[in-house]
Amino acid sequence: MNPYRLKKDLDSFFLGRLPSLKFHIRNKSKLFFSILMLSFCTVVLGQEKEVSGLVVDANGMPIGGVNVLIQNTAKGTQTNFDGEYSLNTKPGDVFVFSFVGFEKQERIVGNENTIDVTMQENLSNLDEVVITGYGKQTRAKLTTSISKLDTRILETSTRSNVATALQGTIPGLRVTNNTGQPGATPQIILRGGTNFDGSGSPLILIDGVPGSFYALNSDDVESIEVLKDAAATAIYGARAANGVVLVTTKTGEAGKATITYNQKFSFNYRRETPEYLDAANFIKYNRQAVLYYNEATGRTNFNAGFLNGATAFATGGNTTNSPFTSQFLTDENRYLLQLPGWGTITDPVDPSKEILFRQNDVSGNIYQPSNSIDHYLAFQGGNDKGSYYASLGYLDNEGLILGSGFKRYSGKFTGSYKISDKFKVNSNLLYSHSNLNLSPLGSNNTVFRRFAGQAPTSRTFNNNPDGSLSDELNPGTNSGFGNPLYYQDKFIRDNLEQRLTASIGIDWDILTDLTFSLTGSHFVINNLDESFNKAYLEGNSLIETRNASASVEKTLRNQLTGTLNYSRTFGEHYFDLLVGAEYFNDEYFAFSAGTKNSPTDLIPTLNAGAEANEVPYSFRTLHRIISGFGRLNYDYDEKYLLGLTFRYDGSSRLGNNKYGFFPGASLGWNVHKEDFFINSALENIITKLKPRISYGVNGNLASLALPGQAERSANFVSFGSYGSQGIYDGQTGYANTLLPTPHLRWERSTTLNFGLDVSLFENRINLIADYFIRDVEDKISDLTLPFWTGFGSIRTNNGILRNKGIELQLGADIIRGKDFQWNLSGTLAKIKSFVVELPENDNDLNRQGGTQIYNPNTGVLEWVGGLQEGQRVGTDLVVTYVQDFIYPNQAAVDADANVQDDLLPNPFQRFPGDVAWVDVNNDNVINSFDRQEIGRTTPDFYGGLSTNLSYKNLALYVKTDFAVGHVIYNHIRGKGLAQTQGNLNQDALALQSWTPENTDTDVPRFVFVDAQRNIFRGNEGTVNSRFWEKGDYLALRELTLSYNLPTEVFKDKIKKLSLYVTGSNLYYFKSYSGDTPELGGYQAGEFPLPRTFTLGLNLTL
Amino acid sequence: MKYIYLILALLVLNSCENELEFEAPSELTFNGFWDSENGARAAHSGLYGSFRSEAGTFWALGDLRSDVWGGSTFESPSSIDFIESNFTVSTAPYGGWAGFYARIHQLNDFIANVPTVDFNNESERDHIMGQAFGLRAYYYYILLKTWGGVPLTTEILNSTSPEGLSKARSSEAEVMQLIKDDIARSLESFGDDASFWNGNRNYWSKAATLTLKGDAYIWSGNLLGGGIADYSEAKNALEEVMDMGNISLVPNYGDLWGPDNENNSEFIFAVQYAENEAENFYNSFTGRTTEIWPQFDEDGNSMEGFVINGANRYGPSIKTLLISDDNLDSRRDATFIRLYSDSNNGDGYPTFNGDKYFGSVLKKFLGRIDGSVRVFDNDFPVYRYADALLLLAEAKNHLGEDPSGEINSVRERAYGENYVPAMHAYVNASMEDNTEAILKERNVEFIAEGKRWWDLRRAGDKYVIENVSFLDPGEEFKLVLPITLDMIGRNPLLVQTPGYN
Repeated sequence: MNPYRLKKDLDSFFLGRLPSLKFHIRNKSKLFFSILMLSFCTVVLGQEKEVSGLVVDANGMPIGGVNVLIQNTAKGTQTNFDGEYSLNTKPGDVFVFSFVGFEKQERIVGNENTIDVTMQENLSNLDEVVITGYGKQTRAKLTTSISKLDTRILETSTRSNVATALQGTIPGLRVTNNTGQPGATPQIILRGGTNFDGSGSPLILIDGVPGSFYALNSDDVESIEVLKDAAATAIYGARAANGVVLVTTKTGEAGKATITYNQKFSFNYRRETPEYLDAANFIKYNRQAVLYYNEATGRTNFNAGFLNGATAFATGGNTTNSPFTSQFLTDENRYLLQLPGWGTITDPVDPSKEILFRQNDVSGNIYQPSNSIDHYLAFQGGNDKGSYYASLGYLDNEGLILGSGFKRYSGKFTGSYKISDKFKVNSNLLYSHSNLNLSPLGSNNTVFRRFAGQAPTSRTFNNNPDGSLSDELNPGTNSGFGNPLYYQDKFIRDNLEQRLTASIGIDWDILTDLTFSLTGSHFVINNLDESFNKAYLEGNSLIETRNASASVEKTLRNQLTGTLNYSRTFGEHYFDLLVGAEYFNDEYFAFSAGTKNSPTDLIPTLNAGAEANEVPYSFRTLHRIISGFGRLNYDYDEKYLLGLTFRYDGSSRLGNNKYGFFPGASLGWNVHKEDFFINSALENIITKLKPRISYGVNGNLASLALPGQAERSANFVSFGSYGSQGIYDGQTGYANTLLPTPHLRWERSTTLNFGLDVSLFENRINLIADYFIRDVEDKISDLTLPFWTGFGSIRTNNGILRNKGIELQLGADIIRGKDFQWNLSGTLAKIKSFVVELPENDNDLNRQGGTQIYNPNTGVLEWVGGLQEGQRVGTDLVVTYVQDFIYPNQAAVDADANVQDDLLPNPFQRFPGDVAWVDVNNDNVINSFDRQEIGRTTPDFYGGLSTNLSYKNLALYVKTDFAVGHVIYNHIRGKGLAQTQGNLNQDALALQSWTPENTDTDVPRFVFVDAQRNIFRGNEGTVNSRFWEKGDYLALRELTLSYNLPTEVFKDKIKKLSLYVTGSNLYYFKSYSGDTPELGGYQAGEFPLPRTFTLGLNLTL
Repeated sequence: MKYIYLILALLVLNSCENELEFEAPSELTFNGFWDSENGARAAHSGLYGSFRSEAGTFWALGDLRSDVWGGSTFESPSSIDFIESNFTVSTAPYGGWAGFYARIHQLNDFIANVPTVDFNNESERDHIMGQAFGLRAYYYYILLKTWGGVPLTTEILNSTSPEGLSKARSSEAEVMQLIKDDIARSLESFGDDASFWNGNRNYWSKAATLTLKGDAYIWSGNLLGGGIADYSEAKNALEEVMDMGNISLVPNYGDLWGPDNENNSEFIFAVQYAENEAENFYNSFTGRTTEIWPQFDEDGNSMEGFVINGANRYGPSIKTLLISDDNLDSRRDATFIRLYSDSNNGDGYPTFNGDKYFGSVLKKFLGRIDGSVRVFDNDFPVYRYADALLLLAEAKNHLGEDPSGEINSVRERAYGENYVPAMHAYVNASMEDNTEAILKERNVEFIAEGKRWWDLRRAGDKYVIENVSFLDPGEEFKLVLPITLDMIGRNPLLVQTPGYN
């Protein structure tokens, strides 16, 4: 079977012949459901005797709601709240007991009047219950690709963001921690993303309400499911192209009320900071670098500032309070050598002189001690009428760098109540109140590259005239590149965010098998940011503008969902039919204002400001989606499974083509239930075998927003824009900045998914495999235009992007003893993205973007990267100049005297220690055609491995994740060795750089401001291949040792008490020189994840 | 199909169309923008907001490659490669035509739509149309001077399909013809209206168009073979500026600068910078207190306490320091603060001392002190009266007439009370000498105003090669820039600038 042809046929069936569907019904602002009333009769059979009994679980606890059916009939009942049932039957009948999460039990009725049953929990995750769109299914009946998080990971370790738990656990889901900032949500990308640049975030639904992982308490989470193929997500239509993550929070269970208390206490430790030069080497290498600069450029313009001024390795320092301590050794300052830290080094510029300095290890000054505490208290319970779950949480997570942290108070209430047998109400409230403190020093790049890269000659504290250290902090160069200890309390940055999800819903059993549900929900984010600059020293001058500002952002999302669900079994035929409609409205409002010239540091609010700073600002935007959807699940004897879904979405974001139709279909076959299979020898090996195939279509409009911009910026993009050009002469000016695209169509991604679920040896080994082809048609992206048009690009339907890949999830119960159990599981995904089709333009392969290099294999120039029809998406391709070797000596330089390097200030002037570049086309000219493809910034494959080992009450859990094949550039290292900052310290790699004494090296000589372009070729965006590194890593993400105290000891007073120790983000096996190997590409200076050790306890009463 | 309809019929979605139609509450979309005079006025302000965004580029293109900059800085210098004309196809600067076509698109949109808008006062519409044609001519003139031939577009892009959008470069003559046509259209729209919009010289005006006309016609005359006819047009336009009556030299050179002195009678068109609007790019010509405070000015005063918050990215060349090192010339002290590493025992350094020289702070555009910080909100002059005067001198010189009157007006103002005709007055000489004299006068007069490179170019290639040490004979092709591979990649009809392949 040719999957591409099949896909094409499906595409044309679903998309090609579909006429434009539109409704013109005048009635406004209400949603009606025309309900097809169906009624069915049940045949009442004769009865012979009554059998009753009790159904309990392995612990002897009664289970309510267990289905008790007489095989091959429609007759049956359910156990009541106490686990009891009674049923009229006759001898020879077979009772089938079934309940979600438990193995099915069968009993043949004999002469007895009582049949008690103990249900065994289903150990196989293949039979787990999976939350699907607007419903749930058992894994056995699932025909689509849905992965479920093993929520054990949520029970241990402090998480300021739940999404970190997803890393490496869901095949095809790439979760990248790009910052160690507490509270931050990692980047989540499913199946390679539907954008050309590999981005695209899944839709996150928390109890059915669109939201995000931010500030969600992990203890409140019951389960997380990831809907991956389009047949699973099609029911979410419009926003589901990048997959759907369903987060379900806990609900009360019928039974005895319980109280749960969890506590976690964590210590955070920094990762390895780069090894920097000490002060002596710093002075030596940098002063020599200036000499090299002078030699290479024929200029001496830096001498005044950088050799003789008051800078990091110059001689203009003084004995007490200059930002840097370096100065010529004289009789007047010689006394300092008696004091700790002071030393001298011979000046490489004038070897007759000695330079005095104080060695100061400053790179660690950006850190603060960092601990976290997490308390969680929950109450839950219920009876046959209703249930409740209420919780409170408190998390205080101090960040690793000065002033950073995240604090969260959370609360939850979920309740449901049966008003009558047929009518149930439920409500759900989730609230969080959080303070996110980012570093007041600035962005990660500023903190980790500049502040942490202070010169080792910096003064943290000023010296007293006698040389001893005072307690007066020296500000250093300036607020963007100075002493972190001085600046840490100068800039106040306060944040408060409140999030509330509130929903209320009803379930009305109109008929036995027909349920009407209506849920209204309200989600609100109130975010308040306040900032205030106290008076601070900028260099020598005291800045007293005391800028104060406050900004408020509000997000309001209202959603109304109505569904009608009919499910019924006719003999071997099982039907589950759902139709529904949804209204979604999303509004955003922002307001900000600022003042300046407050008289005092004491009042950080605007009321003390003397005058306005900038013009006050407010902004409002909104969008709306109206949808209808439906689903049919059918199975025959649980052997043949069929799922059909559709969604019809209308969005306010589009002009003339507001509506899109998104269908999905899936088929599955439980081969292991076939007689021929059961009777064959295979049955002894293969417990379960289910091939699946699914096809579906999703819509997407989020890509109307530019990459990196908030999605709300997409709201009116297609209507064209006259954008603000700023205020001129007191008037705000506008100009056309965006052309309208009224004919823009929905971006549709169609996915064909082949899946296979296999279980071997009594479910000891479970494999879930998926192969998919996802075509993103009418891809909305920036189409590059010739510059004369006035636009670099236009956002429009731009061709077809194809992601294809394979995902594997394997679980193995290696040892399944009574006391000893060992389980191993792993996930793996390999995904590539291709450009299938692009709009006609005047280029070969309708290429957009890319760059031209020489191909040594064909001997001609070719375009690589960018977008080209039939090729891999090239936006993650790194194309750069390749270092061949370092000229060891003058003879080697002379040998290349005829080589012209177009990137050099003087194309024929090179020195020993400079880079010899690979001349790909052997024309003796080094220019942009000599660049080569050296890798991609996204990994080839990624996944995770975890294992769970338990002996009696003791358990060990280890989780790892990995990614292979991406390349990274470490700018902390590159920028230091290029010294285009001036006062920046160098990575210790500088010690390996070429010197007349160290000629056999692959590190070029260190030249001030990279005058010979050895690191940066032309600009800082084009980096020597030597400085691109492999990003392959295996992370030891989590290791937990837990002990469940035997509950017998507590005589049922305590249901559960477990203690554990967890280490998180313990170690990366990697070759990359920086700390954050997860993030491919240009790392300007990142906030690495801390190593965290957690002590915790979980107590249930 | 039937069942799809069936399902949808069962599930009735009500009133969808209306629920999904609403206007953006805080954004201006394409719908209705040009329906009223208000829209046209917002677009009119927009022309200037976006022009201001390009001011730094205008300055860089007009100044950097000359002999004015490239001297020592006390922080990492910017644009060194550009200053030294170090570029190849691989490193072509100002890719994407420096972004100017985005501005030209805005002007094309403006020019196409404003005539359809009803104005209460029709003469205001004529005035702003005159401004728009003048601004478009100015953009194309910069494009021509920077790249030679460039693609021409005067209409709004009405297709969003990339097919057939490639466009070749027009010849230099064609570009110059469009500039001349736009100048003519601008003057036609202004008619007799010589007023400044709202009395404010931060807007383009008839005087600005006439000055541009003088400038462009001399270029056309000297470099594109227009000869006498073009010089005469230039002279007439510039003389019209002289005769307008509302433009003149301010008596004191120092009084041209600083936010308090803006909108003075000498400015013809200056880009406005103001608090809460925008700050200019001249903070890169200053520095940080860390480096400046330990130094001394040329009078031997310590710089400690000098309020500054900038960077030192551009340093004047020694040549610039020497050419402006005339203590009788008021332009010397108005232009730079020269920093020395010692006070010379309190005496300072009345004349330039290379050994002790530390660096310079540009004084011309030093903004103002607001509390404890310096705010860089000087207006950036695009054309001022002295410029028009010296352009007139050029036109006259090309026509074989005596340019000394114009030159001396500028000198007289510069020397003020120190002006001694016998010493300072220029006497008409050969055409060559006159050219040199005008170039020198313009050099000192317009330091940091984005003029010198264009002045050398307008005078002729040999003056560029002679004065710019980074360019050698045979490198005349480098006077215009190469285009990037990306530009060709998007538009395969583009041909690389001659000489670069």
